[in-house]
Amino acid sequence: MPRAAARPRHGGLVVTAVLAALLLGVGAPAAYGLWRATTTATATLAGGAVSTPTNLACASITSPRVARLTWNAVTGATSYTVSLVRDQNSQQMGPFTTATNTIDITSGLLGGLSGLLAGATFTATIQPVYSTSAWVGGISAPIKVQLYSVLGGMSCA
Amino acid sequence: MRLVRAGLVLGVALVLGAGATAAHAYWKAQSALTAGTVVTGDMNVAAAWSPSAPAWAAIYPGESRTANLVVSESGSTGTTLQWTLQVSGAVAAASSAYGSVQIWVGACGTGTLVYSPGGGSVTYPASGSLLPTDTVTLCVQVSMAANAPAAAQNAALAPTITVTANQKGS
Repeated sequence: MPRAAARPRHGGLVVTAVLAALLLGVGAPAAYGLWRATTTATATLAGGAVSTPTNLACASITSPRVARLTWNAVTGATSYTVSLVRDQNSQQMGPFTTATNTIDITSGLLGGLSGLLAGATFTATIQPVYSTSAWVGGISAPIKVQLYSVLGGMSCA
Repeated sequence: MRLVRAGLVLGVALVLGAGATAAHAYWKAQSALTAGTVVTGDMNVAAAWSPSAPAWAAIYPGESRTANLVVSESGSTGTTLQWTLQVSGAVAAASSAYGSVQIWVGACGTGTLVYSPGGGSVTYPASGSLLPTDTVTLCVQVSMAANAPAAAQNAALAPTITVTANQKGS
């Protein structure tokens, strides 16, 4: 009977030892670390800022008769809006959109010419457009164009 | 009493016997061997902009800037450690809402994408490993979201690329 009682204790020790060995065995690979090396690279980059178109100029083109407006391109702008206001009655024409830093003001662009008299002048301004409405560029200094004749055609005032 | 005395005698004998066994040394001989110097190696990684650090122009909403980064394992000469590459990129925390970094092995857009904000880091190569002398050319692209707020103007994106070489276990 004493022998029989001792066996379970002995067996318990063996089981404990086996479990410990298994635990150690499992733990060993986790403790075994592969080597690792890390480095970083940095660069300088900043967000741009809105600008105002400069050097707005008008050139009269005779055939077809148009008033060609040009201005310095603005970095980061995706397009430009061109606004025309009739000097005689503050009537707003447009705004018109152009993807480049030039636009031809034609009588056709102004649409219904009825009611517009030859010699009517318009004040043109340019504003850059960015891909987000949160960015609002400045407005160019105004420049004037005029209707060349009732039958059509524009020229620089 | 006789039994007690006998027991003491036996006990002393056993103690002496055990001591004698412990004091009894096995024979041994030793000799110093001359061997070459053995030092531990190391594993290191280097990352260099190619051909030089980018001089990026200011970035606007909807735009991206790219540059190449060459990664090489630069551990001890003679190392045989094989490795895999893991990269990540980030912009300044204040710009993280509208600035992002994507990284490819090879060409931007057409190479193997190894880091993106949505996909995280992808180990390269996907299978196998790189040799100690291998170099990997990364294309780093920093972008500004098309809907970036006005606060993004003149703000530093300060992109940082983290390159990690992991030893590839056999």
